[in-house]
Amino acid sequence: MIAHKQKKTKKKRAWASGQLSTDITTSEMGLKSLSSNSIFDPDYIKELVNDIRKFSHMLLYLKEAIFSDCFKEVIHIRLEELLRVLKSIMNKHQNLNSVDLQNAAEMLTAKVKAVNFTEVNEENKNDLFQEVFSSIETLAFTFGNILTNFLMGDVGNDSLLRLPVSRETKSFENVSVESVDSSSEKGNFSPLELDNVLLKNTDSIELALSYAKTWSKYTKNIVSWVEKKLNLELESTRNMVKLAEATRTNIGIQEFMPLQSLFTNALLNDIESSHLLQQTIAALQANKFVQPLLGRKNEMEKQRKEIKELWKQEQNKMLEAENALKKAKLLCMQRQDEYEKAKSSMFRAEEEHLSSSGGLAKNLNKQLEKKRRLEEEALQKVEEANELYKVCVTNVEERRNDLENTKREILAQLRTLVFQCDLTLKAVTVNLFHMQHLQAASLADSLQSLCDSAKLYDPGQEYSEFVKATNSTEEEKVDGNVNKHLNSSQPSGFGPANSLEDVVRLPDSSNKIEEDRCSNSADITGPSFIRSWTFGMFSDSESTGGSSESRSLDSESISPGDFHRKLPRTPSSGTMSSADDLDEREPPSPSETGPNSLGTFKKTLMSKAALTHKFRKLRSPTKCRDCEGIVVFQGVECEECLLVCHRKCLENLVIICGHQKLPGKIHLFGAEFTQVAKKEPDGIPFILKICASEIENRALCLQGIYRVCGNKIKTEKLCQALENGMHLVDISEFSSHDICDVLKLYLRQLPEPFILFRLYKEFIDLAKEIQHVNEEQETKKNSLEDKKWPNMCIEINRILLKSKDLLRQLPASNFNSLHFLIVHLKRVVDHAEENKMNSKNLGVIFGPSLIRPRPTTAPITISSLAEYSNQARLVEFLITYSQKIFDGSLQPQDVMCSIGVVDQGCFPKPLLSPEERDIERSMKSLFFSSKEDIHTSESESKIFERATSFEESERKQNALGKCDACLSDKAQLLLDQEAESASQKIEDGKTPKPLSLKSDRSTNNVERHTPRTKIRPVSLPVDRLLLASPPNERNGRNMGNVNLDKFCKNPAFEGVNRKDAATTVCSKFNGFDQQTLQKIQDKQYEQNSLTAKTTMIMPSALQEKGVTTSLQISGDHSINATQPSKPYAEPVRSVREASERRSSDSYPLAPVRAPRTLQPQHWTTFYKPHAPIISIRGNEEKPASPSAAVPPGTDHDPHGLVVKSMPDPDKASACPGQATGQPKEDSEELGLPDVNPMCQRPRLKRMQQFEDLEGEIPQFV
Amino acid sequence: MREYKVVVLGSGGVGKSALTVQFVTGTFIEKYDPTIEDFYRKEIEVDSSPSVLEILDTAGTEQFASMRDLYIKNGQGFILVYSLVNQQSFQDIKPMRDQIIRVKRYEKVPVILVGNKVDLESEREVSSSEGRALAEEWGCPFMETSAKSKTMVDELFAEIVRQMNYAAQPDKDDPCCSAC
Repeated sequence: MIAHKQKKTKKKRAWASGQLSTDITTSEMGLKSLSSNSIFDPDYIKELVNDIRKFSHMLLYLKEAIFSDCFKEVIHIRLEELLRVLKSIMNKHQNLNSVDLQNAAEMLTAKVKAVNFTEVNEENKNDLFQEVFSSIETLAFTFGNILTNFLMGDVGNDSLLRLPVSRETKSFENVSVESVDSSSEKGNFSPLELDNVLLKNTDSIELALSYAKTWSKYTKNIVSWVEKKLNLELESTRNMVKLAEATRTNIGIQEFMPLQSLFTNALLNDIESSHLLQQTIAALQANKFVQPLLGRKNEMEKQRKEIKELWKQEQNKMLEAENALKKAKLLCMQRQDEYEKAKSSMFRAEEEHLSSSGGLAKNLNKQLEKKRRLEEEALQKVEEANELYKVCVTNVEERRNDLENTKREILAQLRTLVFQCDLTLKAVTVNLFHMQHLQAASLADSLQSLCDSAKLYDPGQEYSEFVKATNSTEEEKVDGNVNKHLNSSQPSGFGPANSLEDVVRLPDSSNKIEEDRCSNSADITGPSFIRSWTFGMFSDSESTGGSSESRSLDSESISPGDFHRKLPRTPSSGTMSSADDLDEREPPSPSETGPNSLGTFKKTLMSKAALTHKFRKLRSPTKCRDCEGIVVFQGVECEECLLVCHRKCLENLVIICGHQKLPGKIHLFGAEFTQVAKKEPDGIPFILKICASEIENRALCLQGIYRVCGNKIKTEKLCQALENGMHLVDISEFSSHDICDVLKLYLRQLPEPFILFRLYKEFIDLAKEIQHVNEEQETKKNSLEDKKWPNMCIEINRILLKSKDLLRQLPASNFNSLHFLIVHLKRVVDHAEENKMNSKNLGVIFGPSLIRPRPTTAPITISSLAEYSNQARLVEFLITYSQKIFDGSLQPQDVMCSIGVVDQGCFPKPLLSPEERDIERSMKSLFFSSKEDIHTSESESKIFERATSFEESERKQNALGKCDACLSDKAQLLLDQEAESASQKIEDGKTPKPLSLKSDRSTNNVERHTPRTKIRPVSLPVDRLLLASPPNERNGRNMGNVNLDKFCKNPAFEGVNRKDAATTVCSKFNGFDQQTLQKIQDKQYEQNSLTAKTTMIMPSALQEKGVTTSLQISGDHSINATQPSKPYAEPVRSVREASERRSSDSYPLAPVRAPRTLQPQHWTTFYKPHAPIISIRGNEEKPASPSAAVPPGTDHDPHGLVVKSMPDPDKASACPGQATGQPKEDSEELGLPDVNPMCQRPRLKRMQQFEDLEGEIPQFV
Repeated sequence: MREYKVVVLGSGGVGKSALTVQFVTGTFIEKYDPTIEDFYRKEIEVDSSPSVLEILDTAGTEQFASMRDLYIKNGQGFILVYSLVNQQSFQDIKPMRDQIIRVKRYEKVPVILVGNKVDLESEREVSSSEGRALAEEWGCPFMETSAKSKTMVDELFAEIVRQMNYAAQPDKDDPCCSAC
């Protein structure tokens, strides 16, 4: 028995293996033989065998169909038959019904469906149908297995799940629906059949209608579910986004956290997918799901109701007709009855008539007649009724037909309606799930990738990086501070000094030098940035220790002007070796450098900006440009821009590659404005442009822009990045508020705001006027409505003009920057509705950043609040009227055009009030870089104005001249003495003085140059180098003095040339000057302040003129500087820088100076001022101007010129009295110096008082 | 009647003025103007003792940070406001408290930590627990308010008065107060 069975299985297997044609018979035989022995009922077995045979035939047919012609239809039909047979077998023989078999059958159908019949041809047939064959085999095999099991008797215990047949069929239906269009067979009616089926039903319409009703209810439920779900999802995605954003910012802050970038990515993914999801949801809510379905549902409802109505009407009609029929029937019957009665009575009458004869007969006859008539009438009526009945019947018949028709129509209508609705439902459902699928799929992908990358993480990696990084920085610091320690601690593995290395290292060391400088200058200017000091120390030693060649080369190319700052560090160069040692820390290992090492960076995560670089391994320790820590081991360097940073910093790097050497770090925040501005052709610092354009690009509508604070850490990072990478910084990574903060911070940290200290008072006065006008406007509006409006316009126009005048007095770079910023703010204000920042708000925020009084040591008092509001008001005014204020007329000309114009302008100037000019010139040359000061158009016009007023002023000047001269001389003396105290040779300084006094023009020239020449002297060693130049200068001056008019121009040029030559050498040492200068100036400042206090009387009325002249002068100055600049490009730069530095140094003097420029106006107002007043004034002012000059003088003997130059302006101012003034000066000089030192202490306080008072002075005037 | 000098501090746009004006006038100001400095005076009764509150509403914008020392010197009680929809404003509040301690040279200055804009619950960035933790660290009360919906506004000012009373009682000879 067992052997039998095994044989059977074998056979079955063989049969199942696909060689059907040959094996079927054997299988049958096997079955037969088996059947004889079986325990089963022989009939059942017979049946089973028949079925199995049928099934195998079907399989065979299917195969044949595939092999022979391969028509899709044929194959599908065969498959269909096969499935049907299988199904019937399973129905009949429940024991064979198993999941495996169903699966196999389903697999087969799926495979058949999957075949693309259009592609089938002879060649690929086998390939294409391979799967089909294999699945046929599986089916056969499974069937065989089951059959075997069944026959072996263990089917009952079979673990296979037996499904109920009904479900089985269903599943097959599903399978086959698409493969073959046999819907009708499977129980799906064709539309007409549907209707017919329903028609047979009496209340079919009701059924259909109720179905429709349930459909719409159902859809309603579905829609509300989807809507609610979408809303929930939307809310949760919003929250997710918020959460992700918050987390991202928080995560970004921490460093060295494991899988940080991964999570950042995940968060980004989250945000992205959430956005996507939001879109999807929006789409679903709109045209993809909810709307169409709802629309369909509503339409359905409407139609359903209409149909219902119609149907009711029809039914009513039908009912009526039926009623009528009933009535007719009743009537008919009634009539019939009546007729019967009449008939019977007639019969009776007839009978009576017959029975009775004679006399009664007549009566009877009559009666009979009557009855007969009645009978006839009744008959007639019956007939009528019958007819009526017939009519009614036909009516009802018609109605019924009609009803039937309408019913059919309605059913058809309903059917189409339901079909349409189903169609829509299907479409939107597909939409819904498809979109959700897409969503989920993308999510799944990204999650998968995240998962994969998470697997790659090596636990503890970040921690070790972190430890390494902290180690390295600490080491470096130690190195920098304790050189000896460094020497001993150096790993022996590092090779000996390599001469080549120096060259390689150049950029790096230069960077350090730059940074040094920055730290130095930061120290000088005061605020913040102290942290860079530690590094400064370190690089100090390196820079000094490094080859002198490299130093000069680098710094020259990067920023020659800063070069001088290295000098002060020389003392620290005691341990020369340290620098070399440092360089060798990481020896250049050629094998590691270059593209070979590139692969190692691929793994590290990089920011967008970092991807722009071509990194290679770093060869020598330097500072990271991202975190500013020292890079030793984990460093990389860009091949193109030589940017260096930690590998870990690549993630956060925001500096993009400029494809040329990245300039060293600059000092941006808290640095002199002119220093930054000079690097830009239009004088607008790049930071302003970057930030403004970014904000205009994305944040104009952000509420509270510029008001809400940004993230401190991010802001700091951006500041650092901007100093390191300047315009190459990719600020798109930062939030708008951070960017705003950086911009505000920059403005706030400017040592002198855009609106210079010296113009503070004027601008604040203007603000007060604005306030006044505004108030008037208010009152007038209230009282007189708009009648006085024109007046107000005039007032405003007046203020506009005044503000223009004042703005003209700003140096071009300041003006341009202010203009740029105000225009930007105006754009912000234009979106005030969205961002809520109107000009008033911005005024409050930018007020103190753009205009503020000179800082004092005095404590801040409540009174400064008033100042704040005035500052705010002014800025508000500037923003509101930006278009009128910054119209074309105010445009400062650019440097190139202006040169020529200024040249022409040179001549007329001396004719005008020369003293002022000279002073102004000297001041200007001190204060501003040559490029920026030129407002030629204005200056020209001013010149002419001047010319006309000149005569008048001259008269006054003559009168005043003497006094002025005396004062100026005193001032000179003061200066000289200071110079002495500073251990300088006074003689040099004194000798030149007389010369300068001789001619205005010559002095002008001298003055212009002298400020620069002063710069050089500061550093002692340089002096020697420079010794050659001073004589030239003197010569130049002498020439100027002697030849007066003829040479008035030439000296200027000569001077410039001289300067250039000298400064190129000297400028390098300027850093030292600055410090010393500052000290000296501070002293002087005190002195000045003392005098200033006394000068309260001085009307500070209007510098307008004075200042404008100063502009002209500065223009001259620029010519000098720029012309030579062609041949000596670099020198000129250094000169400029020098002058700028000078200007910064001389700041404190500015307020004192200002009154001087006012002089002309005073003269016009007070024709004969008292001598004492003037003298006082002289004292104050003169010291002021000299003060700038003095420091250099003190430091430097050979440049007595310097000292001289300072007095020069003073003398120039006295020029009307020229010759006569001089002797007096000398005599007075002696007296003054004693006075000043005594008062130094109290001055600080008094200075404050003075400044306060100064504010009130104009009112007195 | 005792007078209390209260200073409202906090970074820009957190709703210092809105809180103050809500308390003083009972209205919510819709306008979005940054304050330079405003001064308000209001009489209220706290714990059945009438008191006069002099409230100094200060500038949040960094530009006016230089005035803060002055405010602090003149104030007796401080309301430190942050916006709970702006994490950074919460961070900014910490140095302000340090500044108060530094200027007053005294640890127990009456201070209340306030998270404003609680009506914007959905946009919250600073959780209550964060605020509470900071307040605990400082040993000061903590509140979450809304000037817009007038949540806890009166309570806030009442509480600061209590704090000032409390601070004045234990050590009356405190040098800080005489300085004020």
